Amino acid sequence: MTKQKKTLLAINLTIIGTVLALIIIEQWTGFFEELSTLVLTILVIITVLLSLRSLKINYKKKGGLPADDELSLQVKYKSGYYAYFATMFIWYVLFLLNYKFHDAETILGIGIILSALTAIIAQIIIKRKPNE
Amino acid sequence: MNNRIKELRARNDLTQLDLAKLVEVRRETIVFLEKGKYNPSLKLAHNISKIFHLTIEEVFIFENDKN
Repeated sequence: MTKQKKTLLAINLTIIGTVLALIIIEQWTGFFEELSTLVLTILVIITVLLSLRSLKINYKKKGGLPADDELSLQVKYKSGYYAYFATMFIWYVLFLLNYKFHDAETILGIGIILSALTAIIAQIIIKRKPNE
Repeated sequence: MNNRIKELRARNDLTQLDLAKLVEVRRETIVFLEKGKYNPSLKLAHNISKIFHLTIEEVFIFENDKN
């Protein structure tokens, strides 16, 4: 496992740990009781999926194939660019509609989920036609 | 841009995985190249051409060159 992949794995595990810790805090202290458990569950699922993907990448590398190449990097950069702009508009709309939500934590949770979904959707769209 | 990768690969009895390993890219990239969905970098085009002992122009066909 390369140093870069180890770092990626460590980041993913840290995120999982943080999210799980938040859930435990919420269950025991009720500190985040306003933040929907559904939002937290979705965040955990996204994080676990990303971690599994990271492990899959390492597995692929062992099979003699590179984890990343020019096409995958191009897709990542392009989708990151589009997702960034889309996410800005999403946050803008969320803050405009903030009166519809109970509190700031719910807005944050929804914003994070929508950002993650935007990144995934952008990646799928760019992957279909990487030249355009 | 079109290319003859699939044809040349079959002629040289190479699988997509073999070619991917030889030019150090993921198999998915070879799939995209064969389908004409991705235009490779000059370096990758050069590497692929070198595997088949051909020039880049013999492997990759630009639309304008058809006429």
